[in-house]
Amino acid sequence: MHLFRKLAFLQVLLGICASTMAERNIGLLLVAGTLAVLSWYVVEGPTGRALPKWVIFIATFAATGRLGYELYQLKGQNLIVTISHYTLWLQIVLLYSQKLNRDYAQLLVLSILQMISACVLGVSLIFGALLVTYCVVALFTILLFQLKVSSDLVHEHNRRSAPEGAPVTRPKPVVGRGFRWQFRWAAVVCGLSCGLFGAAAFLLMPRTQAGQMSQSFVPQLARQQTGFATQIKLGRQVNVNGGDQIVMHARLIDHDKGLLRENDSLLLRGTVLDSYDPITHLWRRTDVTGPNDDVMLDIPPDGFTLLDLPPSAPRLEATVVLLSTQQRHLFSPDLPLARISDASESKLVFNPQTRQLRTTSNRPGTIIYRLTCATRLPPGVTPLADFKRRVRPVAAGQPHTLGQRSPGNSRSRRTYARRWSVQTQRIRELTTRIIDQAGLERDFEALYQSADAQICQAMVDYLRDTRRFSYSLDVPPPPVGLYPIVNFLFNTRAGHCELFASAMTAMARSVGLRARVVSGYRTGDFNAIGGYHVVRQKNAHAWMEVEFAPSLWRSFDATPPQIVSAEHVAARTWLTPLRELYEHIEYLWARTVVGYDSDARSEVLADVTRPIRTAGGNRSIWAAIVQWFKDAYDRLTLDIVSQVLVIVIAVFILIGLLTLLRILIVRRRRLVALQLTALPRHQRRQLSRQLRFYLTMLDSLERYGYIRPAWQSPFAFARELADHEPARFDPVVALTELFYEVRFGYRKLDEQRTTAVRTHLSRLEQSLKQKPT
Amino acid sequence: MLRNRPDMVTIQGGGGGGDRRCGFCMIRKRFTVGPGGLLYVVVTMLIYAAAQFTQANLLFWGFGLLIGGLVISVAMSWLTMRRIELQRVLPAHGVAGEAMMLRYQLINRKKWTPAFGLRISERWVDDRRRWWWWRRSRLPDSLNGRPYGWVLHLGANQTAQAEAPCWPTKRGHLHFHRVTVTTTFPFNVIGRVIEYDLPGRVLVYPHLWRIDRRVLHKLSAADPYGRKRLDRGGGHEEFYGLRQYRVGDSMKLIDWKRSARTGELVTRDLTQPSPPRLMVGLDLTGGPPADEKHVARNGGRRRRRSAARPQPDPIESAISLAASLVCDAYFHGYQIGLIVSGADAAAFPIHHSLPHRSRMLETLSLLNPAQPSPDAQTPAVPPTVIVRPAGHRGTMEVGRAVVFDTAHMDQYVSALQGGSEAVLSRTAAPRTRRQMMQLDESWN
Repeated sequence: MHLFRKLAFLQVLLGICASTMAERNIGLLLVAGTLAVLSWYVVEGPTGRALPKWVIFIATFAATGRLGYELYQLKGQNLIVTISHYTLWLQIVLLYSQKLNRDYAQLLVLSILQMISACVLGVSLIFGALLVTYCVVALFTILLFQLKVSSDLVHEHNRRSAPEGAPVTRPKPVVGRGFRWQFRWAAVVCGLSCGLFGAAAFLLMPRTQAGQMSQSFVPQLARQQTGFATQIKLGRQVNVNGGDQIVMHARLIDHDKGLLRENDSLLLRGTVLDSYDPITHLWRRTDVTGPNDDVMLDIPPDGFTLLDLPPSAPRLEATVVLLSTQQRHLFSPDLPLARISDASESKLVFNPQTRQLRTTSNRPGTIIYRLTCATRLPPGVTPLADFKRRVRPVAAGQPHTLGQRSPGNSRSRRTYARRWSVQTQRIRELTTRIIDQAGLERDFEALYQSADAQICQAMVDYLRDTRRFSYSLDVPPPPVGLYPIVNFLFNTRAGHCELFASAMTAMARSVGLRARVVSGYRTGDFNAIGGYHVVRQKNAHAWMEVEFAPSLWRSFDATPPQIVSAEHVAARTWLTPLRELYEHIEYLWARTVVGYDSDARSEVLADVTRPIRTAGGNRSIWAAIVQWFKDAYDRLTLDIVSQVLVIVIAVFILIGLLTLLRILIVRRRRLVALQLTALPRHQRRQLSRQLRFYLTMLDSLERYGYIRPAWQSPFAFARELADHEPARFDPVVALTELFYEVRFGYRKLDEQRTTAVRTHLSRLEQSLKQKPT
Repeated sequence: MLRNRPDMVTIQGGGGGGDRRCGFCMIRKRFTVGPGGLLYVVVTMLIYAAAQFTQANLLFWGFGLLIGGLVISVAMSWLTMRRIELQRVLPAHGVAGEAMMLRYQLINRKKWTPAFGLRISERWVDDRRRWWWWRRSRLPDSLNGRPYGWVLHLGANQTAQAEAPCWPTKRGHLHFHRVTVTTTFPFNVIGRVIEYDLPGRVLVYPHLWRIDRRVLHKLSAADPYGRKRLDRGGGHEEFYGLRQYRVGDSMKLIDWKRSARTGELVTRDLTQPSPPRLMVGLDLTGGPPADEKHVARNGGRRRRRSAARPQPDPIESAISLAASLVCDAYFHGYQIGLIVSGADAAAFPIHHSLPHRSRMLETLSLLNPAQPSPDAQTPAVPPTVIVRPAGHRGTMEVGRAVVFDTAHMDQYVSALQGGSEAVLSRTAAPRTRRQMMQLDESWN
């Protein structure tokens, strides 16, 4: 039953690792993992002893108190994470306690509960691998636990029925021949069957949209984890670089260029920030355009068309697989959207005024959506031409809103995104000088002018001039009393994308343009295997947009593009293909497993039932199934990338199988050479490992023409050689004696014997190199 | 050493469910759900709820996994318990207060499927209830708990033997009704139970003590090692006389000097040994009134660990003392007889043999003090020792006999080291003085 304790410990450890990985909490992983590993030494070590009960009680109360504190602090927002933390600490406390069967049952149930919560949070491939490993370990643990409980139950019954003082021994396990491999086979059958049921439930169970109860379960991890932020605070030293964690995969196909690759970077807009607070230096979103203009469109599951593009119109097809679904903001290419369709029933809504795509559902997991964008608007087409005609509020009279809503009026609509109150005169002078240098002019009171685009381009050129401004992620906070944007424009002239975007917005507003900051991502690495862009946290970006006509906004990115590209795109090394392969497998995992939805389910069901449904007429079902298999080859039309991937995987599998086959053959030959085939399996393996030195000796002798006949015993062979040349073959005698000690004397090949074996083998090699006397 | 009864019963469990009559035995099969199963269902429902609320795909997979576990539990336990044959191997006898090992031989007749984690236990059914699945197990008075055996693994076409110890507390017949075989493999979720009607019984001897050696020697009129020579030839002890050689005489016994002198072969004749005699009288007459007797008897019915230790029944103590005397005297080579007064039991003349001792022990085991003897028995040999329960006056004529009162039980007996097997398993008394001394040393 020592194996059971080991497996139970391993299961708990795996649960802790998986849960913290799903939560992406490395600190907790280190702390909890260290405490859990240490418990094995403390409790099960050579001088191990469980902690006293009162310590366990205090620790349990402390964990419960921490649960209450977390619930109070987070006000139930992070319920899943809170429960996960609670179960984690309880498990660690239990690991340090004296464990009976009841405690082991509690430990295993807590571990399973923790994995349930981790399943809600975890979307990565590593978590999937950990989950599968956990299930395998849990299977064996539960099987062994069942046997242990049966044994203990019988012993306990017998102990109770015995008179006081009577010795009661634990029942000896009655075991038949082949217990070990039959037990393993039973475990494999159980595991495969359960896996089959799991796959069937996964494929066939109907999916619905998340209910209202899930609102409180959803953790708000997005703000902590992604480089993207729904608010931008200037003037503080922050690490805007993010990390390498993948946020989404975007497959972009331009009808003119084809599949967009690494050189074709694109901006993916997330949120629009139109209000700047000069006191807190905070860019945020306000809704001052009034309720009539800020109605959210409810995107039906079958999609919604915003623009009726002619068939020949240039367009961009984007398929986005968003992994971090804890946030409500979705990301779309910074182009006029023509059509939105949701592949994962996530209740998408779209704000045509801000071109902001969001989900109202709190459903965790991956969201997949498809977008069609117009790369060039056809003449006479405006994005919001027929918006009010086709608008369909989400709920009657209760349109969705974004953030705080202030009552709209004509004045506020006129000054929307136009006012700038931070050293306006100084910034205006700078902007005017730039406009003058470009040979243009601008009326500050006019909302729209024909030269606005050229003015904005002049400002972009001014800011992108690397002789004046430099891009830096290491931006110290400005001196006290100095505004960050002013400090950037006139003093430091160095900053990151947020400062560039903010500065250009300030310059545009100072001359009467309507401008606002946009926060989102910039497409980074291109995965050549999957044919999509990988967007990571470090690809978070900010830029700005200016309104040139009513509801006609145009984006400008003032950040120097070369430096940003160098920052965002990882350098290609020899490991890049491997990384791309891993990321593509993770992408497939996210698309097919984590992002499995009702549409995919319908497709699977349709594929499965199609032969039966199409079997009508005179053909029987079996004939239809046979025909389906005949046509299967035609259906497997793979593109080049998929073919390469399939070939690579097949080669890997083939190499693995060949390696396995070679290992089995070598092992079998070794057993035959050592004549161990008649022994029991475990003894056979052990002796085969230990007696390898004898085969090495025989190989050495064979190289010099001394071959032992099959009929000759090792002892007779060694004696014959020693009689022939005693000095030369003395190591053979010594090695043969060691062989007999291990093979028939059941001595262990300890360190002393191993040293002797090495010495004799080296001596034999040296003596064989010498010429025979 | 426990000996197996020759009348073992074999029952085979076939496929299907419900009641099934196999030969003369009823086989019942059912599924059970224990606390582990309920916990499993709760966790499954929890995962289902979490999957529905959160729509996390991995939870759907986990839910399917658990449902698969449930289905596999049912299927595997059903498959495991098919074609399992059972043989109960009862011991020849048991001793009250000592462990009695029940053995079960299980044969897996399936070709491929092994069985894991089989729990075997006895079941006594209260037949007063109508529906058999509502009939709870009714433990006999002479047991504190059901005996349980365990088989970890029983491979296909293999046989295994499980042991289940039980501790009978009372003498008499211990009846067995049914045997249940249960498995909860693989996940301890669903249990599959097969119940066999398998009647059987074991005779439980009274509790046996070790009689103090000095007390036993005092009872006999023999030398300290318990033997006396007879004035009759034909034995192996001392010199008795000379006689003419007869065919078959040992060469060592020929007196060669006399033979040379007389010209005929002359053989030395040796005396025969005469073991000491012990006539045990068990006098159960002259007891207290019936109500006091009832209270005294019920005091020792159920011995629970938590309850205070009740005082032993004097009658049972007397029977136990008599049985111990019989066993110990036989063990030391005495010729023993037994007569019981106050209960219906046959009188045993003085004799020394294993069947004789066994019959006396069986009589003492089945003795019913509530059923008095119809007429008083007069033994051919007066009793050497009379055993009386505490508080009984007794009506047996004492004469020269020694009276043992169970009120002073501690003066006569001590606990047997290593159980009664050392006494009961020996089938022959020591023949020589050296054997006797070795035996005494080994006992001390």
